[in-house]
Amino acid sequence: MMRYFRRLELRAQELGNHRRKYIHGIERHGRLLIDRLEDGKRLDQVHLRQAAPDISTEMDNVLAVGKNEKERLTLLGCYYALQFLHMNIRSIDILRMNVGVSRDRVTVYREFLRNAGEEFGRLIGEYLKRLMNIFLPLEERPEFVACAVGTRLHQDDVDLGIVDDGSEARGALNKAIGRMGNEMMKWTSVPDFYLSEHIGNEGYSASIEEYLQRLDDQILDFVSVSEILTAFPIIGSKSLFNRFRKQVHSRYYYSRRPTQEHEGYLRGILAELESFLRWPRVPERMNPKDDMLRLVIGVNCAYRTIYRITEPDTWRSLREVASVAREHRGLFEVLERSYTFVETFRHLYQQFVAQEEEIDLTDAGQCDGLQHVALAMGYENLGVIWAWEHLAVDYLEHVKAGHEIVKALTPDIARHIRTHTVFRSWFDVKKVQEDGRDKMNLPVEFLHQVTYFEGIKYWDDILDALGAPDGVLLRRLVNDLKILNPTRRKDVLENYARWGHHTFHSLLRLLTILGENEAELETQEIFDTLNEAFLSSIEGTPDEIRRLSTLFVHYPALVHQYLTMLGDDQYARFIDKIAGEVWDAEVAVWRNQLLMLCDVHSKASRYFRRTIESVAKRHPEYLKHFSDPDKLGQIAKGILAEVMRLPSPEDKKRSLGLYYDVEFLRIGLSTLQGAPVPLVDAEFTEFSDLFLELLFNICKTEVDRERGRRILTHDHLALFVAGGHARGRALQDDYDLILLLNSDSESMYEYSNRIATRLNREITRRGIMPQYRLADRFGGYVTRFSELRRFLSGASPDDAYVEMAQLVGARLIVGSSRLEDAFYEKIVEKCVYKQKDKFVRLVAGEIASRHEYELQATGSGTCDIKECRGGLRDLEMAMLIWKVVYEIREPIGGQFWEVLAERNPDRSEEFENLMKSYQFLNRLRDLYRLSVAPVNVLDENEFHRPARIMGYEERDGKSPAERLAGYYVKHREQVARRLSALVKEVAAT
Amino acid sequence: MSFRYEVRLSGEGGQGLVLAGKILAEAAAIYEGINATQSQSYGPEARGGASRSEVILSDEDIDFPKAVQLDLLLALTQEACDRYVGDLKPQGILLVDEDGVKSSPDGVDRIWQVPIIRSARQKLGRSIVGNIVALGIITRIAAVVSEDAVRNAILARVPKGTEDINLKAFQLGLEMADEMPTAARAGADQSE
Repeated sequence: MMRYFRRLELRAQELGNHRRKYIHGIERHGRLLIDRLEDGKRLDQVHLRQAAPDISTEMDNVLAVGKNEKERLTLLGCYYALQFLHMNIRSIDILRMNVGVSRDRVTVYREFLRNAGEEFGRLIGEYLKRLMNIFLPLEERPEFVACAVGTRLHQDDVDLGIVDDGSEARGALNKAIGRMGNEMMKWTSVPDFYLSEHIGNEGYSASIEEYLQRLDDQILDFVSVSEILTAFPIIGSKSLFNRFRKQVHSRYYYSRRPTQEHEGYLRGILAELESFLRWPRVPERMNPKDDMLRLVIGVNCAYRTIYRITEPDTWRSLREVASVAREHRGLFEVLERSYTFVETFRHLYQQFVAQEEEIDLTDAGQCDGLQHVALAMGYENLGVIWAWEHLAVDYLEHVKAGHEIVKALTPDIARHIRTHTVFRSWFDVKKVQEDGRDKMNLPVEFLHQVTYFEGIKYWDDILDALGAPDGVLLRRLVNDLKILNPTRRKDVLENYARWGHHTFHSLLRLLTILGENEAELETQEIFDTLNEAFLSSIEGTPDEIRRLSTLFVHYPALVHQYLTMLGDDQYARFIDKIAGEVWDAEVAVWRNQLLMLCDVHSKASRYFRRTIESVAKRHPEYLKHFSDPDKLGQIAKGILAEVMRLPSPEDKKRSLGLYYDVEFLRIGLSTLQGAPVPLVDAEFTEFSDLFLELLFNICKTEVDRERGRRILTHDHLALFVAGGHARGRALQDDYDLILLLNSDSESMYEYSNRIATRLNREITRRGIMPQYRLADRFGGYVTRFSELRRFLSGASPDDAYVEMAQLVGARLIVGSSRLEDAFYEKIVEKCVYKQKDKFVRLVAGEIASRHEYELQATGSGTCDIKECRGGLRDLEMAMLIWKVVYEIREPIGGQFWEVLAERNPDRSEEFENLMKSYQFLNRLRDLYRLSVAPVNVLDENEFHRPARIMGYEERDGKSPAERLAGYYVKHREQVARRLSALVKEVAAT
Repeated sequence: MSFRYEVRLSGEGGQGLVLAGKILAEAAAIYEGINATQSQSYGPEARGGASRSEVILSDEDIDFPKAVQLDLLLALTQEACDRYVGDLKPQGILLVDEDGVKSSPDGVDRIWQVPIIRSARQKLGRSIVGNIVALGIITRIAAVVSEDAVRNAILARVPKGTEDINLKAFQLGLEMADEMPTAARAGADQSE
């Protein structure tokens, strides 16, 4: 760089790399510019080392000294480059000065952006005017107008929309614009002729007639329309621009007669807004345009067209909208402030770092750049916290505020569409009859109308009407479809799938509405045909996978509902369609979450789906964490923490119920994903014990409140679990409970019963049946310690076998250790262990008689995993025998085998083998419950799902299910063999 | 003799194709004195989705901004390949990402299948610079714009602090183009 511009070069070094383009031009041609200005004695009339006060005059001076066209273009470009850098450096200097002295930074930012936008608009406008004068003399021009479109502040590119009169001279005009574009590529921000690309057929410009013709055929996408609506003339005919506004703009503004253009535009914007609002933010990235700016511009444009505000500038139009949409005035004012903040941030990021949208916070270089942005915006380092970190926090606050406001503003746009849609007469049955529209075929007519709206994604108003509880519109749709002959109906439904390919959300909503009403309206055939057309229309492209994955992230409940309506084959097809490769790591995560949900749906039994439904209904967002049980675990912990915090027992019970369901879901998912039985059992037991304990306490608090005083029950009332739950088994569908009262007081008995009643009600709500094992014997939920002792001390195991078995296996959940000790010493030891020989023989006899009965009944054994010979009951009874024989206090369960092995090392191998069988049978039972049905009689024909999960593969001509069935038989036989030996052993002793 | 060279870079949003297009156009216009236009797709898709960036290079005025007879098509995804391959000239070059485009189209003589994104990820640790790797390959096989011009244009476009990795990515692309054996032109071989 020559010395003359050294200061500029040094100052420009703080700007991003885009400065290199301008510096390069100045380095190459700066000397020539100075020489020519000196030769022409105009050097003193042109600012080369400062920002120019009068760009227009100075550009004329520069042009005047060029010797030929090529030189004039070079000098003009070089001058532009100088002024561009000066302009930006000066505006940043002013910003730095002002943020240091003003209390209201946003006001400073607004002023900064307004000046920056105006100065850039003036600079580029004057430059383009002169280029056009060089390339196309006035007398050769057709009538045309070149408009700046989009946000004029943005310097990363220059968006231009060019309208001409359609005359033959447009050829010369387009040639000139082409040359203009080439000069811009060299000297300025990159030009973008997006609009003309979409409208014109012959080049950079299009006539009003061509616009209108295009608009008659089909709605333009709303990005193009928004650009049209922000158009501002910079070169050419003002009168042509006014005609353009009158004939083209006006179609998008609301008028008393609804227009398809206005409606289509709003539908497009609304779909985009909803998409952005639902888009999950990625914590390590910032993207001002996607995070905020598109939202604000979208909502602003929508309100502008509704209130007929033609002001193209975003700040001014936001103010105008605020003044007419009075009920939202405050919201628009706050939105404008957040918009100003984020625009300032983006503008400075593009000045200091790069003219790109995405900011990667994991990149140290980009964070350094953010520090420059933060300092320019008036932030300072505070202690160990960098200025950019403060800025990032404020940025997120503004984005959050912006989202909340846009969320509050969109319902009015939706309401406006619903009120003014060209389809509105459909919703009015009376009007339908008056118009004679009852004679039209609704689904066919919709397809006809919707052709104009191709690509539009917002159809919630019509889908809401279809899904309305009165069912009027849906009935009409279904009946009209049924009237059609099968070929025509199939054809119509395939067209719906084609329409829905643009908007999977709308199509899935339609499918779920049809699916939900299957029973009442007999929509199964329609659903199947449409669904088949939908599945066939998906090719599994990365774009489709991305759209379906993001649909799931945005609308998990909808996708989940759709999946519940599919059969096994359809799951397989759907999974196949979304299983392909995706590029974006973010999308890959969502796709995998969706795949996991599909996988769970394809594996889950109705029993397990009930839990999924229960959670999905209240928190559909949890569906996204099916592939991450740890995340569900964190959620569960959070819910549990909330239970402790909530003041009202009702709220506590509601949250506790959710905690139970989420934990059940988490453990069910882990089981389906192959978690080992001991882990599943341990985790299930931990949370369900906690659930019972907390529920007991909440119920007790409720009863205390009713009675007006708190009763201490710690040493008096104990809640034990018996049966499978006491053995630490997961996924039980009943709770065997024993509520033991160590008091003979009548009022305590009544009090305890009231707690039990509430406890039962809440447990039942979770789909679990509470069973009070001693209730039959003692006539109530609560059993008095004294009466239990009385009963057992006089009873022989022959009379009280069931009760004794329950008590020996019981495990304390609520109550003091003193009470537990008393229970163990006075009940278990004194009443059961004292007669253990008799008890053990009874249990052994029970095993033998059940074996005999089963063999007599079927000859070959049934497939009841619990009760069959060698089944789970055998193993549990064997454990009971050993527990009593060795007087082991530890509860029976998975780890009990290890305790046995320690007590009796000689038989450790036997115990280990039995433990393996116990785990195998329990795993099979759990998986069968979760993937087939919650029954004990297992059907080997249904083994394909458990076999797949257990990892069996086809081998030796046997299917995975057959191999699993083989192992099932083998384990049962091993257990039966060992237990027969045990029975004999007991008999012998 | 005059020339007009049309390039379309296609794939998915987020792959940096618009940036690559801008770099190529600026390299030609600023550093080589070649006329250039660049355009891009940004439809109603909120994020992601199909992305396309076009560059037209010519030694004459470009008065028709749309690319219709492509000399070179870069396709990073199957969808982009299927959608745009029809716009390729009879002797046009189809450059596809080996992992993104599994099924090569019929009837194209000059197909280059290269692991663009994978190489960026494996050799540079960042798949995000796959666009610059592709730009290196295009620079070498198109031979319309000089390497230095593209290097300068890259430096004027990428964020501060990322210059090195982007230049490495460009170099990787150049080397990959050099190393591509004739066999890499799978389409040509298959069609024979």
